[in-house]
Amino acid sequence: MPQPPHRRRVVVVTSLIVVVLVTAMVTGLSLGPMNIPFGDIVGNVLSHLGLGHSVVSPTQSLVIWQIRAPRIVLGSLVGAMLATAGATYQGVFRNPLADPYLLGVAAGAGLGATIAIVDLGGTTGIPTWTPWLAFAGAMLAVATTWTIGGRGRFASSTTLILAGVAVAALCTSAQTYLQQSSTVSIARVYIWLLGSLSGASWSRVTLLLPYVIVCAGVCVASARALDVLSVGDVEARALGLPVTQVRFVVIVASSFGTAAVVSVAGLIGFVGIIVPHMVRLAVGTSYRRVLPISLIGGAAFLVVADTVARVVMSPSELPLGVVTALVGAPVFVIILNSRRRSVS
Amino acid sequence: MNRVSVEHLTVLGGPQEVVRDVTVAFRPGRWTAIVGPNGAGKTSLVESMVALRRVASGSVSVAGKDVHSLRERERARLVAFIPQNPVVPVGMSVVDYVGLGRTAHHGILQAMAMADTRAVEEVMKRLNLTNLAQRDVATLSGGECQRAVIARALAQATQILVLDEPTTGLDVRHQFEIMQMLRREVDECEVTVISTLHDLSLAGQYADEMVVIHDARVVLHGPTSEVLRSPELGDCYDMDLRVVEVDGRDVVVPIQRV
Repeated sequence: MPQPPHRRRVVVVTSLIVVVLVTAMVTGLSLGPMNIPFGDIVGNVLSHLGLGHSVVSPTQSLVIWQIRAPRIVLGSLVGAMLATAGATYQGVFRNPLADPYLLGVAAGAGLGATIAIVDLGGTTGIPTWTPWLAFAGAMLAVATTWTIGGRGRFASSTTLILAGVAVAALCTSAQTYLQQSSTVSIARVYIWLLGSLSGASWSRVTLLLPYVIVCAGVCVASARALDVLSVGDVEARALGLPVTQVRFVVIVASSFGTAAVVSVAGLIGFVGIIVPHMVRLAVGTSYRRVLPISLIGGAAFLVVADTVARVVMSPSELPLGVVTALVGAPVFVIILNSRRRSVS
Repeated sequence: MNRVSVEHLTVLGGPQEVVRDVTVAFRPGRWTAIVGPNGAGKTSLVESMVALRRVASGSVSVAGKDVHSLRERERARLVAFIPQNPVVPVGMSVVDYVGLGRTAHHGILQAMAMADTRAVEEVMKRLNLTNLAQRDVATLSGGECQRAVIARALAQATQILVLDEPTTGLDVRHQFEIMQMLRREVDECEVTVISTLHDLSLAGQYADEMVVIHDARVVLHGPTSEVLRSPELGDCYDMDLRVVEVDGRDVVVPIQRV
């Protein structure tokens, strides 16, 4: 007789994910073109907490704390936000295929970034205002989707999803045109689109942190409302949920958070889909569990993926978006299969 | 607290009027069945009574308040609604599902308070659902599922209950089980029940009053036994309806007109 999972299972799964996250973080600090033994990293981290002495050299310390650590923290924030936003979108649209890019965030950000790189970037490098234009593009795209999709009032969520498809197609066509019309910058545009954490620094972490705290916080706080929404708009309204307002707040929070993340890390696919689905498989469908656990799970997943991206072809890097898709697609198939088995 | 009245209500479905200038006062603390042929406007009427449909003109007042100007939360504390085909979420336990009925009481951001948990437990006990508490709602049988849906509505602790075809898809025994459950709410708690029903015999046995809708208008309204015997009822369906008394209960036998 199928029963929703018990509390003990939730605790076990959560602890397991936390262990994976911490291990991935420490491993990520250790691996790279300059190999620093795992034990030394642990010793160094502990010495920062006032326990024992560190044996790493000043150069190693610099690599650990100024290059790898901000990258790992940034990766955690990006992963946490994408997974939370993905789970939230799936809840608010009651669509298991919804991802954080559903309403045109990705295409809008891509267009913004391409404008920055092609028109303002000159012949080299990715200009510093790329994140800002990407952010503006993403928010503009979502706002357009929201407006033409009926602003969530009495319109079904399908209208909104379809509006997202239209806006995304429009942005992508404009973006492709711009990208193809300038051959000097085409490679840089591609690198940005594929997603990367290579530009990580503590200043970027502090730039992104407030967005992630507020946006992911709002999403996690809406868990109960999303559970109510699982019976559909009509019944949720009858149960006393202000559906239109909830949908607005939740979509704004997850789109804003996603836009912030995309603007610093580019387009990283699949995190927002596979992490929440893996979490559901482990702890059931209640958003009160799915959202907070996806937050930690997303962080763990992205830190692992980024470490793989850095190490596999070291010293050069694989684009992060390639790694997440490479891991994500087969995992997604496995999840689909096990769901089918549990249904039949 | 349990008074519902509809005044000059007109509801549009596309360009057509699906409810046309309907005025009805439902008797408080009684069960009124809304009957009529398919497409007469029964569902549109009950949906607009809980503000799930925009009205073209007229008003619905519940406990003296206009439902369309109430906030969702206030409305959900006055009137509970069950649609004809409730959405059954996958992976939610029965106790959590019934707990959704408390949404309007504890607020969106807060967890359930002791009072909410107690209300849920009490309703589940009343509807004999306690032993199914941890089951996934999506795995319940039709009868059990409808019981859980009704439990959710009762957990809302409202004085008015509006149901659209509560017996759809149930076998005879489960139809009676659901009807008896609702009858008990009316008799013991003075809840006003307003339900659309297809089965005239079922309506005849359980409802106190009957409202007949035909072509978007109310054509008959009165005590069930009188309405069942009026010749206009058959005209709505273009059928001859004979009322037979079996053990003091009205049973309606439809006969095709020639």
